[in-house]
Amino acid sequence: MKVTFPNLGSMYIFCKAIAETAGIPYVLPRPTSIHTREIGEYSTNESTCLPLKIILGNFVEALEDGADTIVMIGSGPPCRLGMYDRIIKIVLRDMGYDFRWLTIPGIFNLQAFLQNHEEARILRKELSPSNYARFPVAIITGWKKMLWCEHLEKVAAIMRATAFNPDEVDSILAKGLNAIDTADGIRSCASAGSKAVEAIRSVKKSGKAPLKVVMVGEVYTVMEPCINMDVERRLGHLGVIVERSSYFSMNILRGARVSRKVLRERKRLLELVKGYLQYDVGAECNFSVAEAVQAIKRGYDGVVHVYPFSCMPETNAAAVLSAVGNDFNFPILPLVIDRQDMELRIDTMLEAYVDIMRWRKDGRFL
Amino acid sequence: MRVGLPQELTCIEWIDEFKTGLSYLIPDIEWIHTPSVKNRQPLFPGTDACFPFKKMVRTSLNLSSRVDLLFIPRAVSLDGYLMCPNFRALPDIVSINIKRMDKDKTVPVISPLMEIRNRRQLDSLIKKTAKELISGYGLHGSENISYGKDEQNVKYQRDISHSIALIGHPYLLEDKRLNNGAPEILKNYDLRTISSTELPFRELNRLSASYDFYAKKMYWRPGREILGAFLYFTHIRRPAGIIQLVAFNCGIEALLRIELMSLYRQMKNPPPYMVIVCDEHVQREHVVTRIEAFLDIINGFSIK
Repeated sequence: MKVTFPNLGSMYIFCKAIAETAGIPYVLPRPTSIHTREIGEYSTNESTCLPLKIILGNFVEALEDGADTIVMIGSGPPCRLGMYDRIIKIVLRDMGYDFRWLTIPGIFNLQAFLQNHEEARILRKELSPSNYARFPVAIITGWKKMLWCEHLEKVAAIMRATAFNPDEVDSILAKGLNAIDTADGIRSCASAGSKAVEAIRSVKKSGKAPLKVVMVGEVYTVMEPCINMDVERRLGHLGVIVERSSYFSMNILRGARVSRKVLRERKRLLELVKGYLQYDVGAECNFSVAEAVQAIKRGYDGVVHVYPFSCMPETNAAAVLSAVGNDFNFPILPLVIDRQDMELRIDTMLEAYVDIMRWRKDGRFL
Repeated sequence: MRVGLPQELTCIEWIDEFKTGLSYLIPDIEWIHTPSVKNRQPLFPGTDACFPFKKMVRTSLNLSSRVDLLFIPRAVSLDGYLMCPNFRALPDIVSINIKRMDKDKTVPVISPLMEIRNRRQLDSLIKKTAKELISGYGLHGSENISYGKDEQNVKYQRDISHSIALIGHPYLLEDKRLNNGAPEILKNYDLRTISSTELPFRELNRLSASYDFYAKKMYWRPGREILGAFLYFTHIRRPAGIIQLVAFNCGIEALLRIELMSLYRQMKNPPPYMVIVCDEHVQREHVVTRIEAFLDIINGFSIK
């Protein structure tokens, strides 16, 4: 058995840590490239959302590299993510691949357990008692590594905007993520993480006051830099601190619905958006709007809304955010992402957007 | 009282029945469905939403200046299966855009929540909505809900071996603008058509259930409807050909097309099948060309 999983930001470190600690053989998905996207595009159609195309491409590449078991993150309705496993399985089988599949449920409830029981039953046969025994430690190790990665990325997002040389921050971040990835155990992971954080914090500063924006939108697009055209890094280089609305750990906690704090926060955000949306549209739609409204109230300089072309919940969020921007006279930048051949367009849009935010901040613009 | 309900929504069976029920209880309601050609409203930008959704919003905005009340049900689930997220947001998107058009002059939007599993639930929703309309807007009405419901359409039992089957969303099959006139073009060739809306959902649901994998149930109602219709026309009663009408950027159909194409490839001797993606283009020449080519294939099949 060789397990593989999709690329989603630094999630591969989490998955890799679990597989390594539990002693399960794995195949790391190749970094998402134009070729990955093209595989997905070739096997689907124009209205299929970009995450499906990329994930499909990731799986094809991993199966070519020797993987035979796919582990996929699931989700509930009404978003298309809940149907990804059904459709991707069909496409891969039509392409002639032989594989096994396990979906990690988006919501941890009895129904999710029962639904995955059949799939898990087949895979359980191939795991030894030693694998099972090491699994709790593996989960904790993976979780800790993921938290360190996210913390490091958050610190990098702040320091990139204020650094004299933002490239230096990118370089330390890459090394830091690599050190966390290769760390052997929880203690060495903490040591690698804290060293990287320290190194990023000690870079020379430019002295310029940074702008601050929130990046909201569809989870996969927000978290995966290869999908969102590295908007976070590009804005950072323009002197903008980007705060993401979604992190992998947050989505797991939201899905698990065990943390009261997270549930309270979820309820509060849904209340915040009642003036615009009377009902939960699904996926992150209401949260995208709520987090934008919250950012406006908290004095942020802007909101960047990223989502894949034709995403059903987020197209509604975009329509609402257009009204929100109008009502609050606040700059909200919608970035609809599909093909990757538009880096210059993204750069031009971001530069213009940053100019607007700076002028507003300096009182030179309405 | 003039109440606006976008024509695209009336194509959905449950919403049409909702309207019929309300008309029985409140005879004072004068329904207005079609947008005025004279009274053009600015186009709703609609981001990259699907064409039917944009058209629904545009029709609603057009109607808003001609009616006392807009009736836009929030269709969350019908027959116990989910509708797409756009239907959840539709009333809110319409309200937001009405406010944006004219802040001083707003028309109330009534959006009863439709989570319907059966007839009984719809009846109680009709009563509840009628009560709200009577008390809130001073309308006269009765409490009697016993209006006659038409018997299930049995038209589909006719011979379809020389007909072209059309499958897709009901509003796409019935709205000439949304389907780029495809059914009309077929009629011009003296061809009879049968559409998935003529088949009872019960039957379509039963067929699509056979493709519910253990954990992967098709949770969208339109998905079950289209998949069921495809299976009906390929496995149960075979027409001369199948045309699937797809709305550009429809999320459900984007995935369903992949599944249907895969099923089609596995079939032995299936009827000819074609997908037409309908979008906002106004010219029909490209649709005519494709239909002509498709009919040539069908003729080739029948000669063989």
